[in-house]
Amino acid sequence: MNIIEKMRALLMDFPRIAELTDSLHIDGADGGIGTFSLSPTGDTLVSESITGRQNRQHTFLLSAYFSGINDYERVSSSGALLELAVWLSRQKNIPVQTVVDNTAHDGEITNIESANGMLLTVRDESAAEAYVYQLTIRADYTVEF
Amino acid sequence: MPDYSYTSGKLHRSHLLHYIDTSFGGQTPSWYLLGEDVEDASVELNPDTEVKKNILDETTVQDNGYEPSLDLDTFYAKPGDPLYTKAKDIAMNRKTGDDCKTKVMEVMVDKTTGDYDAWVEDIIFKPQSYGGPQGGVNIPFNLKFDGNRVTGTVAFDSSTYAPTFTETP
Repeated sequence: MNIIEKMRALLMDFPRIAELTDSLHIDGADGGIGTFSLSPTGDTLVSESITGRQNRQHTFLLSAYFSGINDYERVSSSGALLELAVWLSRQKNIPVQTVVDNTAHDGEITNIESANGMLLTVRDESAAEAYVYQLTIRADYTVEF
Repeated sequence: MPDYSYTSGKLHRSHLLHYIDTSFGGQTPSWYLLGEDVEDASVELNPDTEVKKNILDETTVQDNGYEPSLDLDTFYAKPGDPLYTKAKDIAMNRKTGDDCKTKVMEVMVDKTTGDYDAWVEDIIFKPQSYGGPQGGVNIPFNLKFDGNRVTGTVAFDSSTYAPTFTETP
């Protein structure tokens, strides 16, 4: 799995994911309450070791569509994102592959940090519609070339 | 993974390879490639020259040779890693002398096909500290070149890239 597939799989391993969503899409969701969308937003070469190993960084934007009809739900939604952010920061040494020229290169996710776990917008400005929360995620990973 | 062959243009940094013998004096060397988490490392030659001027105002330079050393500022402790086992033993048990003595092999991959020029020399392996910031236990170390330099060639295994050194007669 490449970094995008691995991040999606990792998010689906979050222990509370089943109570939050059953569908984690890539680059777009239907906007219904309980759907998540993971958008890759860029990949950067950070450094390279003297043996040729690359340290790369991939950023994501996770959009989560929650119900937010009262304070209880909204506190719960922000709390879930907070818990997810902390849980992600504890995930280390996760194998990942990067395919270049039809060759898979092994590596691992060494660190995950996230930020901005907060309300982004309220669809149609109606409490009956989904509250859209966002979490920006940064994954540091290696590629053994 | 390093470039185990050269194609054209300037050499990549990974065309200059440094291995350490983790057998530390064993019958058969066990070559371990250095630099996995290192972005910058150089062999400091530390040339020792002395300029003298006599009473006739003539200047002479006395060349006392080199005192090479190599510092690697990042070496993360990984249980099961053969160099970690030795680094841990030397650092934590404050080993000195022959316990720290092994060999280094330098390989210059500057040809399109092997065998490649290589040099083997005795070294003193000295961990400089242990600990470091959050993220991993770091044991930076220094290699002090200790003579008995031998010139030869290295061939890499086609699948594992394990190096085999052959001394030039």
